[in-house]
Amino acid sequence: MLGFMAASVMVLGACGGTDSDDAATDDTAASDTGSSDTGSSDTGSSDKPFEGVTLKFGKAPHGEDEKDNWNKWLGEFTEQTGIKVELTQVPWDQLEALYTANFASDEPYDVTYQTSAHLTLFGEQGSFEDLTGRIAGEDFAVDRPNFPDGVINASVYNGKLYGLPFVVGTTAMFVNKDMFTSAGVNIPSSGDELIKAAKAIMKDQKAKGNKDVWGFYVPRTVADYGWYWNLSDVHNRNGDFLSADGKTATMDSDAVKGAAQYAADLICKEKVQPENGLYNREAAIELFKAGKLAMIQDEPSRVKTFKDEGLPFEWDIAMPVGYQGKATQFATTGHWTISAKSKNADAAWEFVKWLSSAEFNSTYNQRYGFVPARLDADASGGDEMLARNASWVAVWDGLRTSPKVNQLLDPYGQALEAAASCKTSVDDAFAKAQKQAAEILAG
Amino acid sequence: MAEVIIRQLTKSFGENTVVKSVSLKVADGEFLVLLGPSGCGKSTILRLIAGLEEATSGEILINGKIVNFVSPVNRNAAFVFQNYALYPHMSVRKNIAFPLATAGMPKPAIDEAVQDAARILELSDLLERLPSQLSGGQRQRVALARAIVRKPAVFLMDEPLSNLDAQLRQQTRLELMDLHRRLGITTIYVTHDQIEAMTMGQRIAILKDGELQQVAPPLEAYDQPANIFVARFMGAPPMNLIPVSVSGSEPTWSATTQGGSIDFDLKSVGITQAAIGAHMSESLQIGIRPEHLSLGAVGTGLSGKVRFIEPTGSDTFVTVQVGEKNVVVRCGVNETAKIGESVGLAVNPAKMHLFSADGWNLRTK
Amino acid sequence: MTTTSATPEWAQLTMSPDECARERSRFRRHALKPIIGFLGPFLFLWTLFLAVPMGWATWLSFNEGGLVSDAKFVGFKNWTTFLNNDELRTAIKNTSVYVVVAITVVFGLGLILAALLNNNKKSQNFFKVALYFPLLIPPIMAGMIFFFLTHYDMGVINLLLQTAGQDRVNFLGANPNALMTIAGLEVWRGLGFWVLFYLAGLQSVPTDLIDAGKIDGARNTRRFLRISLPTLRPLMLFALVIALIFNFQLFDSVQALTKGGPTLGTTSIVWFIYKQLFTFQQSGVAYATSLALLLLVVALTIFAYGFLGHRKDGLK
Repeated sequence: MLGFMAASVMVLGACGGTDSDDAATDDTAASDTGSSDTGSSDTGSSDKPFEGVTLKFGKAPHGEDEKDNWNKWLGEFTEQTGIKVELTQVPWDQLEALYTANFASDEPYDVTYQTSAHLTLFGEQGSFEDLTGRIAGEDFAVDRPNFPDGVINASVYNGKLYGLPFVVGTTAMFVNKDMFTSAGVNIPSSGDELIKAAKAIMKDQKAKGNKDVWGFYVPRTVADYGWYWNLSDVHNRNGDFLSADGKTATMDSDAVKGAAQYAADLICKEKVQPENGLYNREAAIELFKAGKLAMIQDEPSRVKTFKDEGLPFEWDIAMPVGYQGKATQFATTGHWTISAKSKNADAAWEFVKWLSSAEFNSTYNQRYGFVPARLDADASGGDEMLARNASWVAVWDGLRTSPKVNQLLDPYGQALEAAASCKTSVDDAFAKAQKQAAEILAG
Repeated sequence: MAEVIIRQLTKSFGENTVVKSVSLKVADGEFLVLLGPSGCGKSTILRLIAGLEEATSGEILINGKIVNFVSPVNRNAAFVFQNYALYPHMSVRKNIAFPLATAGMPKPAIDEAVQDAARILELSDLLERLPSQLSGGQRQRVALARAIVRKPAVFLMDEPLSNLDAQLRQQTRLELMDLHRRLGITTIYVTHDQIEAMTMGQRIAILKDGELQQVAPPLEAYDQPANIFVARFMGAPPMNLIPVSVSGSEPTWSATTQGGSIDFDLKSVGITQAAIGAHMSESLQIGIRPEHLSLGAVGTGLSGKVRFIEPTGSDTFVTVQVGEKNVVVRCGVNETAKIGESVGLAVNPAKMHLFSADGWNLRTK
Repeated sequence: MTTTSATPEWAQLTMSPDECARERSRFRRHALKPIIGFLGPFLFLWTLFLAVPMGWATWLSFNEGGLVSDAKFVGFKNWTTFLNNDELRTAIKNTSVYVVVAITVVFGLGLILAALLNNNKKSQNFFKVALYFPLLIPPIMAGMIFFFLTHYDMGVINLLLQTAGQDRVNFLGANPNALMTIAGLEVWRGLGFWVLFYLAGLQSVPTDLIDAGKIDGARNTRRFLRISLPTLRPLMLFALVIALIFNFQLFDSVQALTKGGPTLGTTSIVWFIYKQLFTFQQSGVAYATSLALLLLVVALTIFAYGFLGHRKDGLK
């Protein structure tokens, strides 16, 4: 019920704001297999070794038009290889429930899209094949150098690669340039500058009679995955919520608490961001589009949407502000996995290679605005903003992972929300989070 | 103590008029029975008097005051329902006390009144029981106790005995009459049972299709029915009706039917010469009760064939076919008539009624 | 009159006691066959869809994993984990507050509206449809109507408050507003059903009882409280049990609106279970909590029937 309000979509990894459709199997792609038979008839089975195989494919959508696009893309794949693919769109807000049921069955999806947290969560339970051997194989030798080792290694847990990285997420700060011009301030690059700019803009707008204008917004609630938007600032402060080996929680570290304090101050002390929970992520996007918000942090997939919609003011994207000269990007990574129980693992690998190709990576990301995991893909398609966004991957710092990462992120998110609600001190909130995290890691 | 008068009372539910301009006067302390078949409007009249329904037109007076626009409780009329309508979740004590508690009477006074009512109706030992733990007769007595406890001016009873079995009904009938004799409260009692009406009522008001047919003491209604409806409704088996043609002139008149003729003089049947003159040309009927007929030899009065013989122990009812009509005769238990036998029927002309074509009795009182 | 002292020959029994017992048990066995036939399908479905999953859940509550991965027996660990969980304690508190508020409000309003409708026969049909409306409209539209009412900037309620010079309300972003908003939403959705339910109940109160009340001088309110309401008691008991069972499973609107927040303010027991089972993949803890919730609801049901249902007037 209440699908409308469920529009504040899960942001784990690279996923844009899109309504969650019901899971729907789409076999349009599978149905136009006739073309594969009429293809090059002189090439024997060696050219299409998996002719006639049908793969099941599960993916959560990054846009409302994704299903139509997949129909087209999968048709092309079938024509090339003779492999049929049945797509099931898995809604973000039911993703864990549906994948749990699917992976527990005897015939799970052969190929799925998984974000960093879920990759380890399900991978460590034996749901996915370890791809370490496959990416070292001869048939991947040409592609392998295009994947930076750092990106691959960030997805390795306990020596196992449960999915081949496809996209790397980034976060952009969308700015209303008209407001900056009007207030005569520059786009900020540090936390302090952000507060000053926000205040100047709010004052300027108020003087112009627009009293309900806010300076800044980024989600701080558990419902909108507050931890996700805050981790870059933690990394900027040279810390993290979890040790590199994933065995020790560091929720009460200065870096975590410093970032949380800054987040809370924007709301409670500086009052440049609306009271926590007043606007959820989608409502805040509406505020920005309505010219009532100067800066908002969100995913770059909005670039294409905003351009398509045509906002009534000058806007741009900027790198989210740094701390004492250090600015990093955080987001989780999106991967292609092959199910351990798949009966067509080799055909699935063919499909994963196709999905990971530079060509498809470019096609997909020019539409959905993520940064490709491989270097030879062109994500911008000539778009200056997307090109700038793609360049930020140079300072990208991903999610420290563990099979318990979802459990650990919960107390982190709860503590951040509590601090941002202005009723609990950062110290108290994160002392509690640290205690809970320690119990989770010990249990 | 109160007199109840209703004037030209009419009640319609939508298109359907169930009470048609009924006027009635019930004397202080009187026991009046509203009698009629189901659907005749008798219960509606009772509910109108109680204030449970609003009259379409007409006036209702209790104790000289028009109460049409007075709420039920202020009419000071108690109502006893057919199915008792005891509050199922309250003990007998609370049921009886409910109207007093509602009226805000102080608790000691309530207790005393409840004790009194319970004593009168022999409920003292049952006060803590719930209605579901009582027999039908006991529930009936609780309903009566709840009615008498507020010392009402008028008792309105809507077929209060019809849910009891035959034996209990007869006993409760006597108790009700005794209660009325002791308390002397004006009572209007609705029933469809003519035996109840005859035995209990000081006067009976007989209704048909919302219209009042006759108001009279029981024996008068029985002996001098105003019309065929009353004549047939009162008495079991009902009065025999035989179509006749009347001829003759003073002093001897003759009513002729297929099975013979009956000679009579106007004085003994209580009909004026003017009346018979006006109606002689109509298709008239004579009415005669079974006990006013006797079997005899063929040739006396009417004659016919015996169809049925029904001994009841105290009487034997013999059905004789006279012309095309079946006529019931009340005989002694020793009656020896046989089925199929031809018999003569002797009529007591003094007990005979003559009804006009529209059903009214030509007899003047 | 003389009574016969000796039983005549034709009236002598011919079956021996043994024979009689044998025939009796044969007859009863035969009579049992159709019963098994009738109950069989039910028992089969009950076993398949209730007994087996329940047994499986009970077993998994003593294990780690078992859904996606293999089960690993861990004894009472899950049970001690969930019993010591602060968040679950918050969830129990929230759910209890929600259940009490939602049921009190929806029953109170439901009864009052039903009583008003019962006294107003002419406009009944319109209000019946109007009140039932929230249950009929599609969830998406319900969400839009809710949004239209509660939005901070554009919501009707806040616009009215602003016009009246009052502070606006942060419906979902603060506590205890969020839980009360969810309770309000569930009341709004359920009200029509309970009004119709109680209206049907009120219309089944015998007219004679109401008339007797009028004769006895009880005015509307007293008649409703002292006569109609006690008569409805068995119905209300049933309603209470149903409402307890349903409301203890508060989940949908939490998932859709608040994800348990802000600061756990709307975390319900089932939301806790959902998080454990799916988001955290802690199926053992989830099953242990589910079984405990089941026991709690069963206990409440027994309590409701045993304590509130204690009555002597034979109205069942």
